[in-house]
Amino acid sequence: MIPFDFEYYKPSSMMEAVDTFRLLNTQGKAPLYFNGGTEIISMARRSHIFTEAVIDIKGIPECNTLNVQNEKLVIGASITLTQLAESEIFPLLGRAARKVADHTVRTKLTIGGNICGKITFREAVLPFLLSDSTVILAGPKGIRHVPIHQVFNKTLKLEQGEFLVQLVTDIDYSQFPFMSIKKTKQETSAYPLISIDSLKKDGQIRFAFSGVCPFPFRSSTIEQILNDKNIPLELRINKALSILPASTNDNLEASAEYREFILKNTLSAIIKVFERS
Amino acid sequence: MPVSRYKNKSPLEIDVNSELKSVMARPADTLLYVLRDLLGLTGAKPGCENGDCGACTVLVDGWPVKSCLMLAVEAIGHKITTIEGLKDTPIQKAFIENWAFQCGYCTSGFIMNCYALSQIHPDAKDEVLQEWLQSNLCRCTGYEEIKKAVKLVLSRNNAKNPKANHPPSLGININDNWRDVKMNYTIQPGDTFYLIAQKYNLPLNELIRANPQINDPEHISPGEIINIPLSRCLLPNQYRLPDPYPERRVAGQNPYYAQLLFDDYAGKVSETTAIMQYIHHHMEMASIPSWQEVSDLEEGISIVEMLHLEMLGKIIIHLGASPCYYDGAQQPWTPQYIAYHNFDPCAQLRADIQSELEAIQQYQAHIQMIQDPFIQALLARIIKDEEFHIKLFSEKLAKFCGSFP
Repeated sequence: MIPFDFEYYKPSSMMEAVDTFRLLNTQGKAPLYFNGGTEIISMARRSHIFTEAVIDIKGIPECNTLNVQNEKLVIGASITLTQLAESEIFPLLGRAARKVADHTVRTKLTIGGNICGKITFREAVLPFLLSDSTVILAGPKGIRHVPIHQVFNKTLKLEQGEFLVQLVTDIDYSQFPFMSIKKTKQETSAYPLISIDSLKKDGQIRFAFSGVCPFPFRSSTIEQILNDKNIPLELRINKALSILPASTNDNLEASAEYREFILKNTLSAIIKVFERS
Repeated sequence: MPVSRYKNKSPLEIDVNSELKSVMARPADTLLYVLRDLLGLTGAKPGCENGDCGACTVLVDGWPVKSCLMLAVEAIGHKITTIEGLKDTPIQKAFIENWAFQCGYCTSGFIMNCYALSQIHPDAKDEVLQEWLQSNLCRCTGYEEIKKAVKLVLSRNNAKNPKANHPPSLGININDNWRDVKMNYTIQPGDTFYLIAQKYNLPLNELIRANPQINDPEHISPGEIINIPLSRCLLPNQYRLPDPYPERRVAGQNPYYAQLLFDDYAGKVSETTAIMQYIHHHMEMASIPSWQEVSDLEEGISIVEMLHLEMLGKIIIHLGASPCYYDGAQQPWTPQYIAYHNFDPCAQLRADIQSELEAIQQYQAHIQMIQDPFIQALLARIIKDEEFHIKLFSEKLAKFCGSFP
């Protein structure tokens, strides 16, 4: 049971949501945008977060979009990971979605919630980083279209009162060869020790990582090194690991050394497959 | 549509096992708590209450969900099924036949999940079964008996009638035609890319882009097959009815009739207001990718309204007046007439429908007052377009906002 009370609001348009947030914030209620709600409910139950009001954005039509328009795949923030996996509209994203939590949680867990949540893995963002997607945000200043690389740095950098409405991806990315690999300690449905999504475009392999460092990331420098066929594969991988954007995660699940060992093996397997193809 | 809001303990109406139940619950109460403690449906079990064990699984619109991770208030408008709502289903029998439980605490959650699987994926392969069963934990059995039970149901299902199941909808409308719809066209003698583009009302560059296999569009040979990207063809008249417009003429000069038509021309309810309003909505909707098709509709209809404006302007000239942007009372047109509804496309669509309705009423009133058969015929024809616009806007409102005006 959640040990404190909060008010629940369900707007039916972006503007209503933004206005509701502004009003509740002015009243000092520390409102939270609520989508699938899996993280908010489980954290609230343990008193890890506190709010006096939640604003459920699932009633906003734009947040429930899943279709292709003008060669762009448009995914609303309230689309669940199960919907993405079942739709098979973007195979890499479907595969990445399947790596998060378990099936019945994914039926509630939304793409927006996974990307904007507090849990650090945010694996569903990896395909969007690989495909240079655009995010659409709604907030007090209106609607913003922003390339994901400009606004996602460790977390999605939202302004006060702003929320994620849609993700827009060039549909061509659904056609490129990809690999999506998650390594866990034991169970399949567990947080990843490492999770790598990769995609080959114009002869170059792109990589996005989760679980390796305390945040998900894609690095063009690492990609350049890993794609440099003038250097032996093992050296490329060692060099890439030497420039990770932060220290490797080191916790009870796995030591940093063990994670790096798995990371090297997995990268080697991915590159060998792509370079053969 | 107003914002739904729930503060403190409120009455919630929830459809549980096809019965509408009313409970007094806090917005912070989970569905699991409400089902068990307020409705007395104890089949869903509290286990981890953290979304890990699956003992509390129920169906929401046919899909299995952990009820500890759902607020009861979120269930409003959805169909909830608990284990109490399943009676003598094949999966329940199969669990008994295969000894697929020991202590039984996790069983109701497993059965709800497996029941949904048998409905949604009646021909599920092993990897799908594996994926779904990972959602539930059992500390007594080795899972093998549970798998056997599900496989038995799936095999019986398929043997009986492989097409019998209609999986519950995901609640989304996935656009199946997401690839360009193309048509093959065989080049005829005398054809050029330019003529073919004209024939199909297609921008030339779109035709060239759809045919990368043609190295030189200037030199095509009869018998060659090219692609016609049908989805790119322009349909110039799709936002107005095909009936011809009557001749723009009047029975004689009449300043009073011109004064009435100024209201239709640039009054509060007028073609000028409609043009400006629809163009504004078009531009705002264009910034939201999922609203592109409605944005295109707004633009297309505003162009038709421009055609109406031009026809009214000519009539006003024939009646002996100058078509300035004033209404019949000589008040200048003002942008305050526009129903902006910024960043609320559903409200914009409703406002557009309302504008068309008001325009029709005004035209009908003017037909009664203007005793000139030529003008009456023109206004009657314009009304037909406006009625068509209401139909087009209403279709989009139903599709995008799930409501009817």
